[in-house]
Amino acid sequence: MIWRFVLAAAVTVAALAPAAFGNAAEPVRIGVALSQTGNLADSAGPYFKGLDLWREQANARGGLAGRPIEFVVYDDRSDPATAARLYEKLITNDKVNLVMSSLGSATAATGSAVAEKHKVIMINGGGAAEAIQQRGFKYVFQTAARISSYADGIVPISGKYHVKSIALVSRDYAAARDISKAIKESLSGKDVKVVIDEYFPAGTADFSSQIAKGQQLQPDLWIGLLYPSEAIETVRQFHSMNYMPKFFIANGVSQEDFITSAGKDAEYALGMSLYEPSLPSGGNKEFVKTYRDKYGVDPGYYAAFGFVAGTVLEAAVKKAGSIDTEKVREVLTTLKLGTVMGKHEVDPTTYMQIGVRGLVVQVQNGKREVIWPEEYKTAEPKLPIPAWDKR
Amino acid sequence: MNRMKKVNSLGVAGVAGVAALVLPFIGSDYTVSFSIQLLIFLVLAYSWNWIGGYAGYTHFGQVGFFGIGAYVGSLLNFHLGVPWYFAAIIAGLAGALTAIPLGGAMLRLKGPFFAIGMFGLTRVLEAFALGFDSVTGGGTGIYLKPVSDLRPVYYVVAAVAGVMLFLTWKLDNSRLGLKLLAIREDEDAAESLGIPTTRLKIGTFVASAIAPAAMGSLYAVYLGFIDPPTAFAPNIELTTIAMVLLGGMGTVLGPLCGAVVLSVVNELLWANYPQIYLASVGVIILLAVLFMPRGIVSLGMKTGWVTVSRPLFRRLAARHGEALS
Repeated sequence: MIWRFVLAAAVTVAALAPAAFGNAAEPVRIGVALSQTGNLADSAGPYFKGLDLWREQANARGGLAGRPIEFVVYDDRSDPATAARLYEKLITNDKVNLVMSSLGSATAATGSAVAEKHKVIMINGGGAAEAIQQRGFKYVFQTAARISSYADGIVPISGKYHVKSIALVSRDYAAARDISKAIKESLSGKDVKVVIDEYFPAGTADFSSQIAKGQQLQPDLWIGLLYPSEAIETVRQFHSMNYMPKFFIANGVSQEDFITSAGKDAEYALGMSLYEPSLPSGGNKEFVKTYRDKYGVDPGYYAAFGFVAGTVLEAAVKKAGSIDTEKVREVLTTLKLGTVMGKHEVDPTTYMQIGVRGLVVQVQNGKREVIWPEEYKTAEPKLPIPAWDKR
Repeated sequence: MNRMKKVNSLGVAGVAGVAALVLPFIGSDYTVSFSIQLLIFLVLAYSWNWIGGYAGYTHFGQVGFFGIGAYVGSLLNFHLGVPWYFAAIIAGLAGALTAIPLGGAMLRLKGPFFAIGMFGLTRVLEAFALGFDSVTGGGTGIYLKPVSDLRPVYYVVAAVAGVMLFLTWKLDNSRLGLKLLAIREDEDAAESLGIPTTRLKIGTFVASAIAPAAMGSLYAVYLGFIDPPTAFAPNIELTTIAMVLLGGMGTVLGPLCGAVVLSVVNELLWANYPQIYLASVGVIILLAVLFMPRGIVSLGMKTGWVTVSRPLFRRLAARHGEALS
């Protein structure tokens, strides 16, 4: 308790000190509506940690155009209507200089409309939906990986290993339907048949009927859009039913829980991923190290989303030489740069993110290794996946 | 005495009306945005109060009509370029049209069965919106061209809220209102007294679906976006019901009190104590249900603060008195 008081006092003094001296640069205020409560809270936490780490580092470098960076943060309760109202508050009441999107497509969708209306720059660091960018907005720039990036690796992998048939077994949630659509679109016109296409409701833990179907129809590639717990159950039940498709890929594989809980069964599984701490991209080692030092865990992709949003903004302001909205906007329309997630580049008309590509990882010896794309490879793929008795 | 009361309530209505009219000119965009959300909830609360408060058929499915309206309005606006205010009217009609067969089927159920049945129905609708992605855009949702000025939306929503308040006041003072209350108190007895309970129930149910569907459409315009979890959010349902409970079910001013008090308390708590606000709102609702189960308005009536809505029997007695004299 006393410590907390001392801490609070110290923070207050630190906050007041520049004001007392009077001539310190006025801070650049960046508004964020963040889901601190509600169903997006778990993902928004690391997103803001990434943002805050960037703020700390950028301030050490001299801030934005020589002015320190300050966040104004409100809780949008994971509710799109609240997010809209909060961006209205941030922009008209708090008079922030620019805004960062909240994490999640729905809240980013409503928040971005408000930013556009007031002609305030929004870095869309957390809204993955393509549709957010397809509305012809002039002040909203996507740094988050698009939802369809998850599907990026599927086509090259399918082509390389001559996949002829696929099974899609997914938990029924909005992003899964979108990713699934992107996968099917990218495979259309190719000689690949979808033999199983199923959604199961949240809370399902028994996949024996789908696996029995798989044993009968023998798809080459089994794609699962799954939460980690479901990915874990899937490989466990693959094992207990002595079934293994030649290729198994799921987004849940890329979460930390998968390897720790599935243990040996996790081996060889492929994961769709957007960011890996092991990614050999520019500045990533430094990012992972400082993130781990500050928060005690490795950054996941939400943390990277936050960090990249800041990185891009900082680069744009640096190039523009000021935080003037129109100047920064102009720079953002064509800005290209390397980030911890790979490349940043936006489509010249919609400002949709086209630089960040999805990754494919494989669990090898209890670690996730990047096996696609070639330029970021950390290990050779071991494919097709061997049967259970041949390991 | 009676005239005084009339003058008072007229005065209150007048002041509220003027305040609602000038608010967009003196308030910030944030105030307007906040007020739109409050007024949408106000309309939802009044609609729910008709079927849940007066007729006694409480249910958890109103947000289903809200969602239908949101989708009908958005699709019309998005594909056919129908202006948003016109789309809202069609959305309201669509809500009524859906409510007719639904009411016919669902109102055979009573009590918790009806309440939960309606909840289930809403989840089915949400699954439809998610599944028919060729029409609804599935999980991606529908992105509308955002309105450049919120003020017109504000005035439309405020006007609907005013109409709902007026209609409820009319209902409360009418034979129809008494018949609905009779259904609430004892449906079999009401039936045996010659009240056409089935027709009235379905009629009320359909009437209570129109405004929520129109509001859904306006909500989508206000957000510039709609997706299944947003259109059919259980949170909207529960907030609406909490407002009616807090204010007083089956009363004219209950939904108004509930919506204003809950929205403002919510906002203040949330702005000042973000960590504990959800828990505090829960505690407030709990206390309200425990210590004033008939809502703020009935507490007000007991203590004499609110005199607009007279207790039922006194009103009946007064009516007889007038008829006799």
